[in-house]
Amino acid sequence: MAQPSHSAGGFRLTIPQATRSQRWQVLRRSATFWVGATIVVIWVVFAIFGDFVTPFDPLGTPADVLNRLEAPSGEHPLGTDELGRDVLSRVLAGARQVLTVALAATVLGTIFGTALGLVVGYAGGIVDEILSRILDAFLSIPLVITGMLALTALGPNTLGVIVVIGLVFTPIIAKTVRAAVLSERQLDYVTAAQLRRDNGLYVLFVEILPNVANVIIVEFTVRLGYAIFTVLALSFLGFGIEPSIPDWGLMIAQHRGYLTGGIWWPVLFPALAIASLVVAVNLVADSISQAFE
Amino acid sequence: MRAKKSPFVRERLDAIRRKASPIENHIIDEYAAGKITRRDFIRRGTIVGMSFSVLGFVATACATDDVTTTLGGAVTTAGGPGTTGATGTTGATGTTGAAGAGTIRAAMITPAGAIDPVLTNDEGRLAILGQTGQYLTFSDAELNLIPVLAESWEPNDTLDVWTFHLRQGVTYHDGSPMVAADVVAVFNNIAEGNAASAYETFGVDPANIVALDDATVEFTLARPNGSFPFFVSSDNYNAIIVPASFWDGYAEGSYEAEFPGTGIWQIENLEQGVSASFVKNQNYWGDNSAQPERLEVLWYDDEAVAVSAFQEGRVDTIPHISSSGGQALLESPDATVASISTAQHRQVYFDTSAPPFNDKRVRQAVALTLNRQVLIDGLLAGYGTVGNDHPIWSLFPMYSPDTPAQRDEDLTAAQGLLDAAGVGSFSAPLDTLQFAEVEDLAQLIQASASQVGIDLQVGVYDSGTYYNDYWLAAAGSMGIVNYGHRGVPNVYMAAPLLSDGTWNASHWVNEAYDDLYAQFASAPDLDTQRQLAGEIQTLLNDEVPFIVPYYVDHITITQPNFSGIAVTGMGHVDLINATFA
Repeated sequence: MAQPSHSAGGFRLTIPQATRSQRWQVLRRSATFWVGATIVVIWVVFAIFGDFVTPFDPLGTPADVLNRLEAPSGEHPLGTDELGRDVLSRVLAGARQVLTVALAATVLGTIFGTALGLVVGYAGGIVDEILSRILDAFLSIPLVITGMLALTALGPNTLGVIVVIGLVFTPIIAKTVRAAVLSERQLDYVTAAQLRRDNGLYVLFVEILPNVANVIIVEFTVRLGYAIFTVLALSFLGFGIEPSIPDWGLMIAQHRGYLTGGIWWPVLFPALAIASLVVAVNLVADSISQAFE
Repeated sequence: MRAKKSPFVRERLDAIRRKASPIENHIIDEYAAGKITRRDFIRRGTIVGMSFSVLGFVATACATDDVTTTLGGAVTTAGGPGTTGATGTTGATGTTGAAGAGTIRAAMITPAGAIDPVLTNDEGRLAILGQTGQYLTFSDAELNLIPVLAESWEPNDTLDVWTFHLRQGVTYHDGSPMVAADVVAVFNNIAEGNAASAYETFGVDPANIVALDDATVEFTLARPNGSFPFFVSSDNYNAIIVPASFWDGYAEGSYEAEFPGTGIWQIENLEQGVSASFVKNQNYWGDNSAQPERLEVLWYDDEAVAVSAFQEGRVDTIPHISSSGGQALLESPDATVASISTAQHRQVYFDTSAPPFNDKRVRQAVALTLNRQVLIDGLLAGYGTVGNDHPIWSLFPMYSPDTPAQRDEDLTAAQGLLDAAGVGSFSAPLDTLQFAEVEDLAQLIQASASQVGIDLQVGVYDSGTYYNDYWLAAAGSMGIVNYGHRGVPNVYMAAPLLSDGTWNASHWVNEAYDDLYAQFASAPDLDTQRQLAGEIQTLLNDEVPFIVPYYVDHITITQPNFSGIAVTGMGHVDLINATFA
């Protein structure tokens, strides 16, 4: 665990170099970390450079609807979808959509959740009681249901998905950060800062925040996996994504009806992509979590 | 060459003409002069209330050499809502046996709400209403108007008063007789519901509907209308005839308590949103002796569920399925596929009240980016006919052929129009609803328009959200809306296109069109209607308040051992002649 140390401006996070090295050593020796990280990096590369590596236009311009639902072939290794678009191109390009939205939503949720968790944990007393009960109530609603309700109210669009998932994650992350802050605020460096009558915000964000950073990092990686799954679940249910945009969840939703006719390729390959990314992110999250323990 | 008429034929023809009204004689003149086909003669004759015996005689007596169609098979009435030779053929498991035995199991789309004569606005509900209830007239798949609860009808000379004579001896399921007061009560009570646009289209004021006696109802219209009997037909699916007493305790969904009506089925059991079962109406006024004993309806939200049920032999028929949803069955040797051409179409509308679509060149440019035959072949598996940016379907008798020339894909011309309009590249929303292939159509329009620098942002919503928030509202946008089949184009031409039309999503205001439509609606003869339709088709094709990319066929799937189901483009399902092999 990181140890606080005193510096000119007060207590600062000064994680001992040896500890960082030890964590990196743990990660470096973790096969699961490398497997997960490799898969994630591959998808990130496709997300960034997808336009240059896809064999066909993922948006299907010009439309080739007469070649719809063609089985995998030399020209289309993963077949074509219901509008004649190349499934391989759409799967590769689909990484951008899910990673962008999931990452942005997780960052948003982490920022809001951290801020809220710091305040609730540090304030304690009645503020903690009231906000904690509100957070509990919020958390009792299933995540996807909350997302669907919010998107129905806000109107479905990509920005809405980011905001909704970010807000849904906020109380979850806030609860975790609050628990860490409750431990931290008992420590001497916080008491010293309070005796110095440091500004509350200063104590929260300069003194305590660095010392709960490890918790936040672990929570961030775990939430990223959930965010990916939530984004895809919402798009599968038809919330938030423009239908022409390559999106794995939407691709499955659009083509699942064809399974009864033996047309499996527009469903199977996006499903495999989802599985690979979610599993990879979770492998990385588990490895990071172990390294911080 | 005309066949020489015998003295007997001439004498009877003269007698018919003496008794006929000026409008009826005009239709006979048009047919005798070869201006309309035998099929159109029958259609027009039924609309103005000429009996089938008279129509059949005149059709033969005045036949010209170019006539190739026959009366037989075009219309049958036999007491039921009419079946036609061209409607769904067939084919399933189920209980086998002689005609009149067995249980029909049909997979139908789930009703969108409580089954209710006032509020019904979807195929799921109208298909059920038509099982237990009936209409004064039935608009069949061949565009014929079949007498059902009205035995005959006639207009006055100016086409603004229509008198309907009710069939005698008709009783409701509870044994009470159907009388004219019931009909008046129906048309008084549905006026404010989903049927409101039909009242507007046909100029009907409930206050001007009167029962002359127990068997006669008279409608006085605000303006002449030559197609009025379609207002009281199955096309206006809210106008199902129920006892006047039903309205005493009417509340939303109260119809589901007893499903009152005169139809061939009586309700047996209802499990909302899941299934319904019906038993044969043993006291039906017509001949339903061949009708099977029971009907079980399995409701589905997802066509894949219906397809699975069919593949597993749990249903005998899917009366209506989309080409995309039913793809697994369209080529299957274990399914019989029947299709009928319909006037159902998608309107891809532009908001003409705001930039960039207030310039008709921009609208024409978008229309020119579409390859319509490719859309039909790709999205509808070939089950459709090409549209030309007006709603007058080519099989309507009043359609003016080849006017104007068919609009085809021409990207160069589209780019030229955009350049001339000076709009350059631009973005615009394209909003629509989740319905059949419409989401795919939106994406293909998006892809097509992108070839000339138009960036359309597609939004697809559930029908409630779409109709509440997007349909008539968004400025500067495009949208896609579905229009179901009708026997005449009046509804398509009024509510979505008149300057004050209640469904005018294009916000298109054109006085010349308003005037042309008024003339069209009151035109007594087909010649005049066709001439006006030509002008309207040309005007709409040039102005493009909306694109009509195609008309959609109605596909019916049946098991190979099941036959006799008749369907309409509207979604009505007639099972009176259904049998198992």
